Amino acid sequence: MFGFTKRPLFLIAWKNLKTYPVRIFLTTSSIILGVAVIIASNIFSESNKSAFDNLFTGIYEGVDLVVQPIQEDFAQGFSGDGGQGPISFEVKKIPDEKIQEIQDLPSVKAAWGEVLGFAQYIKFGPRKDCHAFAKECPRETILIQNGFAPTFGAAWDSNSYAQQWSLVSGEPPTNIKEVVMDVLTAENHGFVVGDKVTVLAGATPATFTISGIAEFASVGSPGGATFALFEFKTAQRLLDSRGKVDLINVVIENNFDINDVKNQISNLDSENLNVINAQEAAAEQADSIKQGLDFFNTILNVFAGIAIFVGAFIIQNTFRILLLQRTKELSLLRALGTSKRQIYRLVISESLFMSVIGSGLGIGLGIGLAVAVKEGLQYFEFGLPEGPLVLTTEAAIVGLAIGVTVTILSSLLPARKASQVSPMEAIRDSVSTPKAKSLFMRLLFGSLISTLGFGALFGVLFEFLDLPTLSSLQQVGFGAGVIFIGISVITPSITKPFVFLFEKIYNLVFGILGKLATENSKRTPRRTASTASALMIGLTLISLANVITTSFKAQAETLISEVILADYQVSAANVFASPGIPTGLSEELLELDEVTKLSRTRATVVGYNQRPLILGAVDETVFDLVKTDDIEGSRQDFLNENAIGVLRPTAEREELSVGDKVSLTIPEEGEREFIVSYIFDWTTQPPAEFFVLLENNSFFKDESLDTELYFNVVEKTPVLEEKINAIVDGYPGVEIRDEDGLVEEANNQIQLLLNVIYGFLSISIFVALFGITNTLSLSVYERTREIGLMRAIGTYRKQIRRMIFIESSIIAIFGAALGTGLGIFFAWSLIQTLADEGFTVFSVSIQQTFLWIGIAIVAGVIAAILPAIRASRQNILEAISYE
Amino acid sequence: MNNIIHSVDLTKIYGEKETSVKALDDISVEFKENDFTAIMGPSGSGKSTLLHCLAGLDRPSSGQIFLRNQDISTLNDKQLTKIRRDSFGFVFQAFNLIPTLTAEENITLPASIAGRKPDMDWVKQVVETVDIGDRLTHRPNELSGGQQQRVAAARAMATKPEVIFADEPSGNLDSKSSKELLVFMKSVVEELNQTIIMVTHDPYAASFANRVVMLKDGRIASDLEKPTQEEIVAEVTALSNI
Ligand SMILES: Nc1ncnc2c1ncn2[C@@H]1O[C@H](COP(=O)(O)OP(=O)(O)O)[C@@H](O)[C@H]1O
Ligand SMILES: [Mg+2]
Repeated sequence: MFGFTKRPLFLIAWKNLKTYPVRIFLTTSSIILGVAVIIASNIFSESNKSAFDNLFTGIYEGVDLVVQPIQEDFAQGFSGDGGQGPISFEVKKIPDEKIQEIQDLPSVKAAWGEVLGFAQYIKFGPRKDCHAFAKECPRETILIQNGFAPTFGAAWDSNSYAQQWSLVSGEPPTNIKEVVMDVLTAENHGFVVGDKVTVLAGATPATFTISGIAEFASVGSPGGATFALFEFKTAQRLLDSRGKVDLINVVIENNFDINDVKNQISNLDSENLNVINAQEAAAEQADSIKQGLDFFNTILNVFAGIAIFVGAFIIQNTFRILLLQRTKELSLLRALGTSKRQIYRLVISESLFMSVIGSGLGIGLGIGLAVAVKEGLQYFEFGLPEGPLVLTTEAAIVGLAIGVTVTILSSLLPARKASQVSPMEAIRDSVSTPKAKSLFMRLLFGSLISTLGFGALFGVLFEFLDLPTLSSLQQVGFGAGVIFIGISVITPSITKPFVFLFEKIYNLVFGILGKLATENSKRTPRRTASTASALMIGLTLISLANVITTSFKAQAETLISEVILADYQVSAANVFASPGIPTGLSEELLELDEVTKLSRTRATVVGYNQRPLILGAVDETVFDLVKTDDIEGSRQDFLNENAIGVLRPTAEREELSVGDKVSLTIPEEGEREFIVSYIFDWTTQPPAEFFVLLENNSFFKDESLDTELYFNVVEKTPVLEEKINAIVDGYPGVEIRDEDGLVEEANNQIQLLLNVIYGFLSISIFVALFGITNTLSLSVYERTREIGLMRAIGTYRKQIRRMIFIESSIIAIFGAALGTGLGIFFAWSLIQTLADEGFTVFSVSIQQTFLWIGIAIVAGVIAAILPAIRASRQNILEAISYE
Repeated sequence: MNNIIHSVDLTKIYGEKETSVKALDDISVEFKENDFTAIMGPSGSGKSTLLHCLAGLDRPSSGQIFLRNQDISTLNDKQLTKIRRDSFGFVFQAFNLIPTLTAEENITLPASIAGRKPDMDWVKQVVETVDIGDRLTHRPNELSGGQQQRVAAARAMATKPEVIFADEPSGNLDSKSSKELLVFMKSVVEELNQTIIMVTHDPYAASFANRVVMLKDGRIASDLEKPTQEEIVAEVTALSNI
């Protein structure tokens, strides 16, 4: 369809590409990158999906049925939410005897129990924040964890049918002093068989000998979790399961129907046992996780879309540039009798070749990128399951199709223009410079479009326009998109005024070279603008992300200092790792004279109206240490025996007011009645929905773990800090932070996200670089004579290079300034829109903004290196001779 | 008068072995200060090559070129560029001006790239001599061909160079503009004490010079002092008949 039947043109197209491989590279560079991102994101999510599939089939490997305890309905409802504090005690388990009962069924070949709980390896090492050359570095407890993945303790399955774990080296654990470690943790932290290792399980750490190292379903460890596998009875003791197991795995005899066996087991104790089909369970669990991953994939695809979008700009630009350089050749073909149509086809077939090559290279690069992303995320400690990278055929086809389509579409206009070349062009002299067309229409249309965009955007902010079917956030986004398009249309017509802005400064600083460079960028405003636009896209997104996160950080800072009134906060380092803070810590802290006020928080799951809810227990002082708001009732009444405090949103939802009666089902305690005496808003992340006073309630008093501690001191001094740290260090898995620490932690999380976003957006800057290189190459080519003349009358090579660099910096500043301006404006609009959600702080980091503008300029200069060298090496005589 | 620039056994060979062309064959020639010399010869005789070598735009294959007593044939690109900028002026046949700069900016361009303030009194005098005072703020595309070449001539003189090199400066002009330009060049030598070496194939243009050096096949065929136009025509005819 693209003239393949016209053999001569096909040949010319192919020859052209073979002769100028650099052309292919310049034109397709952006497509290569765009396709690479698509492929990488696809590989990445597919690989994760297959890793999760493996993981869940691995968990049930060789098992036909799984027997679970039926949880009390509220606990069941809660168990999916991720825990807060010590919730394990109310989870029901299966008594050991049931294993034997199931095993005794004639239809069952094997049955064994599994015990699972939280346990964490710990080691002592130099503090992480120690200077590399510090003479004395205090050692601290280091919690061993692979990324953010959980840390588990479990029983080693000695049953011969158990296939989940297999030993890589060593022996199974046989006594209370032995543990088998997962191979991932062993490799990451350098443990070998025979080493001693400390494991924190429950509240007290103990030391074990590593008897063996095992791998899980050949993936090292499920989901990157650390595993401590103990001998069965030891596991039961350490993981709070004496005489009980969490579930029973069943293998059935061959000649029995699986559903019959399911019923038989269920009938043993249908009140307490739930029997499920292992393979179905695996598929279900994998699916629910995969849905979560789809979100990540969507984000990656958005980035790929951005790269492709920027790429389309550049391909079009580059095509136009390359075709202009070949005006003579094309017009000669026309003079020799080639029709316009044929020229059009020639160009399109060239673009087809290029797109196929480019997309192919993109797929290759994408594979590399996927590896890099994976490594990168591991570096940033995103815990994702281990597994091989998978490239599906569909992904490759989609990547190829997108690459080819975008390239060909981008080449349509330039091809049309090239086909219009007059056969006389070949006979005329020298390089032709594009004629200046009026930019007025552009200005008009662009302004019109932008006005519409501003209308939509300000319509939300100043409440005069409300587009139907769009939420205010969507309307702002829509408005921003329209403004962006409008500005892109306008840019060529504002190139001149923009350059004019700093022309004077450039002339002053760089003298005549500055003058020449500014004049050159004004000479072809369209080209300057479209080159700058590619950069503008990237910078808009970067500064948007930058301002939003800076504002969020500032917001977090104000919030934290407003709501945390305590000097220090103590919490479990990670909810997976340790179930809570041993109560001994608060006792030790209270012994310090400098500690003035201290409040403990504990929590448990209770039933309310047949639903699970978290009931918190606090000391009265908590209301001095954490800010509460919107208070109803009296603090004094809260001290009463049967008093209960309720969070404001919960009170509203449940229609509770002061004086109402509340009945809760408390595990191992039964029904209890309370009287609502205090309603308040907890201004930070609330630890519970209902609150009672700790010393009034025995079921909390006997508990051995706190969830959180808040305390004040007389005065924060380094000496006191040392003392407190020394105490806290005695409790591994516990973390202490002051206000700065909290702010820092919030900031770190935001920064981590920002870094990932930056990483992806840098790709769009990278793509834009190729655009600058192309444009400058053309600019240099068009000025062959001019540059030769300048050299002849005594301009140094160095000066020619400098001139090109200056020109490039103008393009870069243009793109960066527009992009940064738009990005900041969009961020401001967004934050205004979010005001109702409590976002009030708009903060621009001047430093970051200039950093990125600086990066853009440096990038622009780097992009100019090749054209600059080419310009400075130009042969003078060739440039000036006139024949 | 002093000798300002001279060549010794200057040879220039283009290309490799079999396909090589000897554009200049052992040329030794001197040019005097404050003189107006025309280099003539048939097409392909090596006129441009000689000019390019003398002006430091091209490198000789062998032999030397001296500017006063300095051997410039051994200099590197940077040193040669500096000499072109500070000691030479250039007028080419076409494309002499940077299109984005005004006439005035073009005239002061060599000084600007040297980072110097041009000697404005001198520039004024030059501008007056070439008679383009009313066109100074115009860009090249707003000037006629003759005006463009005069601006180029003014640029060539603006730095008070030791030698001005001109390669067919009137080649693209109509006869009226051509005459004006040549008159200016002559007055530049006589009134402003400049030195000009000009390549031309036009006997009329050559007749404005004080001296005519005739080339043929890369060698000097004859060297005429103050020839008339008729003498030049006769010599050219004689050369092309051999
Ligand atoms: N760059 C070059 N490469 C090869 N041959 C050249 C080159 N420049 C000039 N020549 C050859 O050198 C000879 C002299 O050329 P030139 O000096 O341009 O002559 P003129 O200016 O007198 O017409 C000619 O034969 C020409 O073909
Ligand atoms: Mg010539």
